[in-house]
Amino acid sequence: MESIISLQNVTKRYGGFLALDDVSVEIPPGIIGLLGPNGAGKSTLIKVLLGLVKLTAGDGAVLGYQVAPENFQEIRSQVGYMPEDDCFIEGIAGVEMVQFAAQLTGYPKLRSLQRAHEVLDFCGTGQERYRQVETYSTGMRQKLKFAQAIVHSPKLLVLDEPTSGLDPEERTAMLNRIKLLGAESSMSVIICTHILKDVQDICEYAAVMVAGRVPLLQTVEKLRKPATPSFQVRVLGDPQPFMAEVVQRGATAVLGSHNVITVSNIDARGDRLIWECAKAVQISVQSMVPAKISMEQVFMQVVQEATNGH
Amino acid sequence: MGINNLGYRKWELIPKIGSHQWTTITSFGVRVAWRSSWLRRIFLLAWLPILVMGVALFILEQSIQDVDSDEFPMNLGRPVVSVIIMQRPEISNIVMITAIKKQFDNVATQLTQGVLGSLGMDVREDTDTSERDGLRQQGDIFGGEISFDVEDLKFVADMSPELLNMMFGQTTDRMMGGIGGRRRGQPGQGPPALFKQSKHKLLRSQEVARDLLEYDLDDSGVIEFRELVDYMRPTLWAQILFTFFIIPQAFSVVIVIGMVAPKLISRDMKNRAFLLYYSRPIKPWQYLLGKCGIVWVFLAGLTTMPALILYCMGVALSPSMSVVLVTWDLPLRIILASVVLCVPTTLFALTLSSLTRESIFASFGWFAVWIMGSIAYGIMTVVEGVVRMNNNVDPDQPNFVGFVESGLEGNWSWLSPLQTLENLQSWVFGMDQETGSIGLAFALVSLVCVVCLIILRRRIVAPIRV
Repeated sequence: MESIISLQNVTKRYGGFLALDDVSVEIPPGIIGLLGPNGAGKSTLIKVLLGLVKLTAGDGAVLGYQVAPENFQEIRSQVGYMPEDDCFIEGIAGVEMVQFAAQLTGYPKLRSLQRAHEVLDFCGTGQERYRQVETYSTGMRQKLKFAQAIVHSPKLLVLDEPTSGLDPEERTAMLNRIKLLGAESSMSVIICTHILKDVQDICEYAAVMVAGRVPLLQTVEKLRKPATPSFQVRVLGDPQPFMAEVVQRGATAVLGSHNVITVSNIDARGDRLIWECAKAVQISVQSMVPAKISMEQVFMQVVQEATNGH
Repeated sequence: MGINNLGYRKWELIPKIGSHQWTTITSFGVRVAWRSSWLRRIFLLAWLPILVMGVALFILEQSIQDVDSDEFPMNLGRPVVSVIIMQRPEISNIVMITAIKKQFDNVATQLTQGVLGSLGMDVREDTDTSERDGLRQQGDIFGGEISFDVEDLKFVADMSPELLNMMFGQTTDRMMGGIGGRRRGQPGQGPPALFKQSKHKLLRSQEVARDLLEYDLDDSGVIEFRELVDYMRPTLWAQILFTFFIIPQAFSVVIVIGMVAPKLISRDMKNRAFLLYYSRPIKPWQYLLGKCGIVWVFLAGLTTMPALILYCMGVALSPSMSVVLVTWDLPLRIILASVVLCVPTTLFALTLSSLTRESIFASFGWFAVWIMGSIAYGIMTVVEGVVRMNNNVDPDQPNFVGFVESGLEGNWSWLSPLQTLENLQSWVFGMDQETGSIGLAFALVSLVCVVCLIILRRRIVAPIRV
């Protein structure tokens, strides 16, 4: 599969500060979550992709175009960017801002207006689109930024904290829109976020940035898969006898919240061990699903390893 | 979901990306700025002077068409046009040189008469016509009788460099004497024109005298008012357009730029709209050009457009289309004068806008520079005048001369942006009415443009580099 972003030994230095440290990564198409603590270099990486900052060293390509000044117009016309910070033009209505964004990408005025309405409908913006943008709530501004990022049908969409400031309902709606774009429009999406659950919910890949490096890029599915087969089990009644039986048979059992027991180190015995233990202690198994590691665990582990490794 | 919601559809339209993208920023910015009702009102007011100037052109052309008429407005046109002509340095100089020549002739005549009288020969009574004839033009200008004898013009046209040098001193003294004389309540000795005398202006007067000699179409030996006005027509047109630029429009420009430009970059910085622009196929120079374009559209609407309309109006009102042949360069001068006015002011205003996130500070800085500049220029000129007055030890020269000289020389005009731009526009329109040095004004304006461009470049690129 051809990568949408390819970076080789990319380094970016702001004076004495090393923002990107010899980054080499191949990002495949799909929905990618870009994770990292504050100051890890996520924003700099985005700016490098959009050609907003010059590389100190290294080479790269976005959507097949070399990251070089002569290609920035092509790159930017095919990339949509939703910044984290508020970003608007004072004194204009929301629909005008989206229309202007389309015009800036090179589309004619009337078609841009038509498209702006279409995209704002998709983003769930009602009559508020006719209000001046400076009067918008945080949630509305997020929608507006999202609309201006997708108005020109980009091949690659870069979203910086797309769900921050949204209420739960709006957050779910926003994630659904992103999912839809990735699934139905074959648009690749890079989501920079601190909300790990968002990545867990909708991303196909996750990349973690730490101290200007990308130590991890993997499918979310693989990342969340435990090293050995594990199960999350809920039983009716007291879980302690069941856990004791599991431990006695050489596996590991950890009690989590809501009486969920994570059974690991099962080896080849698989789910048979669980049924045998339940039968031994005469207890009913309420549910049993393959266990997954949370993104938080993955993230913390990667950050810790990278920090120690540095 | 509303029935209008079609979901997300891929857009297949192919965008047109190119260096023209700045026009999108300009047209959008103009549309947004035009929503201000105050801006619209001021714009409307700024167009009113065009009516006054249009009437001036109409009167001028009617005067040329029917110079002998006693009917309104032709009878009104004559004195008005005469006053304007007399304010022209080249004409004013011819009048002064003629008067000086006749004074010398008169002295020579009196000496001759004295000698002949002492010899007992019959002598006619004094024919001291020097003052009357020499200053006929200025004395009778309100009757519209300004005219030149061909002989006088020949004298001016044929002056040797030495004579020209002498006339430079004589005319300068005469102008100053005239000003001081009037102050002392004595009859004036020089024309009421106020300009800085220079050898260049005297040479120009010689050229005009030579040209005027060819305008004696009826071989009457006198260049009559009609012929003079016909010759001066392009200059008069340029004078009207120059006046239009420097008096009403310069003030409108300052106010309109003060309303539009300060918001253009500062608000983008405050609201981080830079990200919206630079995540699109827009380069910093396109952004800057787009923002400049917004201001230029308004300025063109205030200066270039009305001035060109005024010109066309003048052509339409003139009795003969031959006026186009003698004024063909005026549209180009109008465009150049607009560039001189618009480029430095726009760059300066945008620089102020880029230095702050609060547009109100940029507005304050803009108006402060214009107001304080003019005040500083006024104060320094008055101080210099007072110093010159106090240093004047010549008992024959009135004290007031030093003061007026200071104003005419305009050594401090570089302090005032308004005065500096006026000097440049005077040069563009070929008016020779500048106070202060054109070279200094040009250098100053160029320096301001270069510095502003450097600052703008840094400030515009800075937000995306952090």
